[in-house]
Amino acid sequence: MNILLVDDQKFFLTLYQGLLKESDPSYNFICAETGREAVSKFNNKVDLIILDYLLPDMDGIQVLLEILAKDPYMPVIIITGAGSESIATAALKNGAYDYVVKTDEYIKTLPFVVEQGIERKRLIEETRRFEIQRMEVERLAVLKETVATLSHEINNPLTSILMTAQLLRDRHYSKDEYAMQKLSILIENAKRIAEKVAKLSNAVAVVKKDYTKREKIIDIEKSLL
Amino acid sequence: MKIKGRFMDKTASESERLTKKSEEKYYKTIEEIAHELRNPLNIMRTSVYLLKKAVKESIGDVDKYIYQLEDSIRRSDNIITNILNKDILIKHKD
Repeated sequence: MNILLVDDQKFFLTLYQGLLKESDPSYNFICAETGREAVSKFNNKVDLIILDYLLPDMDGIQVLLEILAKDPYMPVIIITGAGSESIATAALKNGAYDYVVKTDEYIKTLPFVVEQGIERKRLIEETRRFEIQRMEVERLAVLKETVATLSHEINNPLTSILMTAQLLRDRHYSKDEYAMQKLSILIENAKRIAEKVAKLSNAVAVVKKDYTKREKIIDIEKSLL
Repeated sequence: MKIKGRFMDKTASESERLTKKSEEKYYKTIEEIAHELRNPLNIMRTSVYLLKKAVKESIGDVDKYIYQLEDSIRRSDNIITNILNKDILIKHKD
């Protein structure tokens, strides 16, 4: 888990790292001392942001809005000074995940809020993955139905083409090289279409793969053409 | 309420984006299939045209058979249009 820490005072950056590392040694940290630096260091590998409201170049709300414009689901925890609850409310209204006020107790609260924020992000990502998969499955079902209809409908004219062309070739043009060549091309391409349609019908199949030890999910890549 | 509304807005736009992406993939696949089938069909149409042009005198039921070939190719083309391109036409209409 990667946490972006934003504070203009090195003391707090070091404090948060020690505190959170103690709570979960797997946390990695990216530090920024200005709002601009935070925005430029933010990328899709960041899982959560701890953002001090007072920064030298921008205020926390501005940074928050720029981050959320890039990723609307990013959990951002705003740190404000005691007596700045109105700022905390403004942060929440602008999409911050939560806020922590620098009181005596906030050192104890912060790891818990971080843990909850990371869990929320994980749940959102999981939901998005399932949503994408649901849509892919729906698309696959429609495609399968379309190909099945196509295969059924096109079979009649294709059979007619093949039989007629073979009949012409064998009975009427067996000595006419030019006509034989054209009819062979015709037969060859009718067979190509029949093969392609058959291949499509087989290719649009539902292939499953292991998801957990007990569950299986649809393997979209293998299920498609 | 406002916060909930904002979150719902984000979720709705994300869902719209995902739906659009999924639809685009579907249409692309359909277009590829239609293209794959139309290529041999066009070759067949040209072959019948050349055959018809080369036939100077009709032997037996040759004219009837050539008409049958043309008709079957036309039917195959219509099937591809109706089944595959129908979706694409709807997409472009939207």
